[in-house]
Amino acid sequence: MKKIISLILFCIIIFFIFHSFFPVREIIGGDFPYFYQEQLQEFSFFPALWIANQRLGTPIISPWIDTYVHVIIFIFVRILHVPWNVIQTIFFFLFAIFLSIISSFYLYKELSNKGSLLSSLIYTCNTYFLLIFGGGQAGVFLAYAITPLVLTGFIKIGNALKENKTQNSKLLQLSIIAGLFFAIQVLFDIRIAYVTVVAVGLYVLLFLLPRMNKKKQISNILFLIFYTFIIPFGIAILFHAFWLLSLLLYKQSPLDTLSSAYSSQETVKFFSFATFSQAFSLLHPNWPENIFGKIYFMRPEFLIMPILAYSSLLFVKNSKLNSSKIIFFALLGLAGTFLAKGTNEPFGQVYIWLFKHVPGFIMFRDPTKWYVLVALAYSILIPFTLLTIFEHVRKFSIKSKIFNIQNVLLLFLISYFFYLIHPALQGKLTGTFQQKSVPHEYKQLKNFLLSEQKFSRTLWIPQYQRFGFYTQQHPEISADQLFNISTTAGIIKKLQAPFTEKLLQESAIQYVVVPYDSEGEIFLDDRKYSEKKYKEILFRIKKIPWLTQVKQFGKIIVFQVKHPKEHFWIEGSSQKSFINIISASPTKYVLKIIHGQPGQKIIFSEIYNQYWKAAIVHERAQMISQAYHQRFNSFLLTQKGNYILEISYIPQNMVVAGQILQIVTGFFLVGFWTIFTRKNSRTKEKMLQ
Amino acid sequence: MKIQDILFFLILIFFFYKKNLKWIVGSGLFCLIFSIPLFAKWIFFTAERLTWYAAGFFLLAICLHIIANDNLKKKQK
Repeated sequence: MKKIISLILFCIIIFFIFHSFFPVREIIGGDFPYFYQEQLQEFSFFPALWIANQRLGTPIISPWIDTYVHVIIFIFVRILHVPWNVIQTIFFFLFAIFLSIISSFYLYKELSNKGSLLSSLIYTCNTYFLLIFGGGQAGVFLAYAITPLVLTGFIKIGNALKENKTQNSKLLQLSIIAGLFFAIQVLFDIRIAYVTVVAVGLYVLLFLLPRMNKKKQISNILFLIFYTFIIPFGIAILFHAFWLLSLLLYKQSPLDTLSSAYSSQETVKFFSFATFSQAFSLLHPNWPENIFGKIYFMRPEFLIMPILAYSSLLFVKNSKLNSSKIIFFALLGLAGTFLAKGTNEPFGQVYIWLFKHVPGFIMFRDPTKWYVLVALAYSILIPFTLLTIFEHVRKFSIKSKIFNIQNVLLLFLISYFFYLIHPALQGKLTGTFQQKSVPHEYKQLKNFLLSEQKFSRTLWIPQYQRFGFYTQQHPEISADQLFNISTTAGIIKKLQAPFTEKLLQESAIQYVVVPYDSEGEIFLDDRKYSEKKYKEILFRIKKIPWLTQVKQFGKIIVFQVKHPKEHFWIEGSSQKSFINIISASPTKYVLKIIHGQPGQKIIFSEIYNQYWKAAIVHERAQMISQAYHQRFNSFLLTQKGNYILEISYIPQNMVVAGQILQIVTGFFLVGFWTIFTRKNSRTKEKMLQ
Repeated sequence: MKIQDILFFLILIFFFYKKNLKWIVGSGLFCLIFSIPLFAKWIFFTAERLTWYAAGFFLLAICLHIIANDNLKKKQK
């Protein structure tokens, strides 16, 4: 009965916090992208490793969450015709809540049978999770949600290894499960997967390795490495071979697509928003408004969290639970706190050193990702402390079922917890928690762009707006990305420069759009929307002589660039030579060259990348892309006449090889599972006989 | 390094010598409890430092726990 009441209470709390996601609605806000129906129809089953969108085309080096988005959209929206708003609510938001509850429940269950719901509540309703959830960072919150499950998988391997009698097949089964969970986590967000690996590493180094049987130390260490690292990581690598192969074979660094501002020391210092006390209290520095860069003062009421968490250290010796696990989670909490504060004091230089020297640490320019460790630790330590206190209090309690000290304590704790997250209960959280709709002006712009048949790009000044429409036929590009300038004044200056018109024409940019900043994210003055800034930009753009205003949809102003080039064009083309596009996908174009002349250059107006190649159909010779004006791809024609030319992005071929590896791995695992289950049932039957 | 930092390190060394886990954890908890009114009154410098000291005490307690556990296991063997 008690369990049912707890479960009902738990469900009510969860519903109150996340009530804005019921019933299903269009989710708009934060980093969660908005897709029009026309855009959804372009989604393939797997993401391409090159997209025409952003920065005159972008190589996709590591398509983690994109893969999940593509698979979900392809199956449910394109094939089964389920509305996108239903899919996004179920497969992203509700799934994350469910996963977070279940996975933290199982992690705590690994330690104790009591207190699992409290653990789930702390893990799912803390300020960090609520803000990444509201911020629409789908990959991060899904990876966060599965973290306890991944850790449980590895802890189970550790437990099995400690019991020397465990069969190898059982160990292998546990390793495979851990590997599958880890592969899913990598699919969501590799940074959170990295955080989990740090936690696993800490567990193995401090709590598993020293407890190995000293007599067979070397063989035990080899066993440990094999089952804890080689098998799980091997499975994860095989499942992600479809992008890892191209990354390894073509040695494209993910950093190549990012500016130096991403990996500089100053950026890390800027992004170190949380102070030590905030990280220690599991208080997100942007709580509750979630305005980027707006950091709040420390709220003393949150300090009860570490007090409760680290009080567990007082009860470790007398505990029925495995004391080493409590110690492990306490250490994890401290490590998470130290890393989540980034370059802030104390010992801020350590984070910079780690960022510069430790492989993979470069992914953590935003140190708040390390909050995951704090959340994990507190979701274990706080319930443990509270249950121990309850046990102590029980001795002195009145023997009434309702009016006893335990229930008073419980009521006090729930009230305190409600007080901490009261903005969530009052519906004051922003981003995806709020209901929004697409302004009709953007729908009009979409229809206008769709009416254009031939390929053309749309330049957004100063930057793309979340409701802006783009397709493969009409990619978007932000002015700050095209000119590599972050200030509006710099962008205007660049637009006024003499060669900019030619650059825009060669980039196939037909329309220049000044957006309507409906969400107050672009024209900002002291983090608030500034009409003055919008008007100032508009005024300056209107003065550019080669731009003609062609349309206006409310506050969206559309200018036209005269005579833009096409996606493919021939340099110095005579009237006789021209190109027909037979088929087009983001990574492969089939062109018909009419009256081609040797020495002519075909310009492909996407950013130069050495892995674009051209080949005449049915001929062996291949042409590798040459940089044109240090910006675009170009191919030198060697043949005269009419022929078909295939232009493709080479790393995409590795996706197919990777997919084959994925399928083989899947079959192998299913086969192993079947054999193992049969063997197990036979053993059980024999034992029964 | 401030005078309170030196005091903290002296206490930490004393606790390390005494190896009384309850005292160490208790000191950490005391630092946290004491920092609450300071944060409430916006005395951030001292309050923030107290949270660092609390973490220091907890870290020492964890290290001593690990060492004690290892020693216990060695003795059992």
